[in-house]
Amino acid sequence: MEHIPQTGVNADHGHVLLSTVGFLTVVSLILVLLGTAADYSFQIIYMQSLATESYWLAKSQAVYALSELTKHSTVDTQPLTLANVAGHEASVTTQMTLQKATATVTVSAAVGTARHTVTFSYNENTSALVTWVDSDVPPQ
Amino acid sequence: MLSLWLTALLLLAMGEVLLTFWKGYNALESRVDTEVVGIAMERTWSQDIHSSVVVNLSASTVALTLVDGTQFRYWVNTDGQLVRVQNGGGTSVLAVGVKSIRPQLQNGELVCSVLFDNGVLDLMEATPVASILTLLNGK
Repeated sequence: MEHIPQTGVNADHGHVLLSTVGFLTVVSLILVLLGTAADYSFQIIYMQSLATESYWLAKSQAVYALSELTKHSTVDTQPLTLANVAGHEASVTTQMTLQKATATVTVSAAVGTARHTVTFSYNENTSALVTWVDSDVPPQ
Repeated sequence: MLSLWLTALLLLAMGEVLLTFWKGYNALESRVDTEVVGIAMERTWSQDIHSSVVVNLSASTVALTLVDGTQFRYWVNTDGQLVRVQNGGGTSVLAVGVKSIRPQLQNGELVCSVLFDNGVLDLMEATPVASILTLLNGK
């Protein structure tokens, strides 16, 4: 019997189709992995930007409070609310306790899930800063 | 014979695509890992710098005196670890896989570039409270 070479769509019994589908599956799995990794890094960067926003809010208010304290021996404890900081409502609170000549000021800023607290103590008799503590952990 | 060549070519192309993806994934993973290490390092280090009243820099070390009198020194040891050593005892590792650090003072701000082994350059900036006091006192 004469050998007739196979031609047409099913010439390879579907092997090309199978390997193409397999290859595409592997490629899409890898794409999912890459996408997940990229998503994680975007989340990290987003959370970090919120932390930076809250840091600068707390820090600038603390510097303002220190400036007031050195010049007028008093601190503006009016809480601030900012309508939109990186898509979130932000709040800044200032508290001051006076013990003998040492004033301890706690400034806390919250943006979304991020918050930052700056606590400092200032001795008014010696005009010296006693402590300055930065923290991204909420105060107790 | 032609189909054999075509198959070989196809396999080569597939292999190249997979290899590229693999390299890209590894590069991304390494980058993200370093980013996380960098964030953790900056968190501790910048909090120290913020409460510093005295800053002493050399080419590759940083020495800080905090407002409460605590003194810390930072440098990269031979194991590629960025260490923070407290004067009088107490060493902690701030980051691993570090090649070198280059601290500088720019307009009262401490700017430190941290070069990691995988080539990632992390620029850390923090202002010591000493600079704020100088500004407030108008000196």
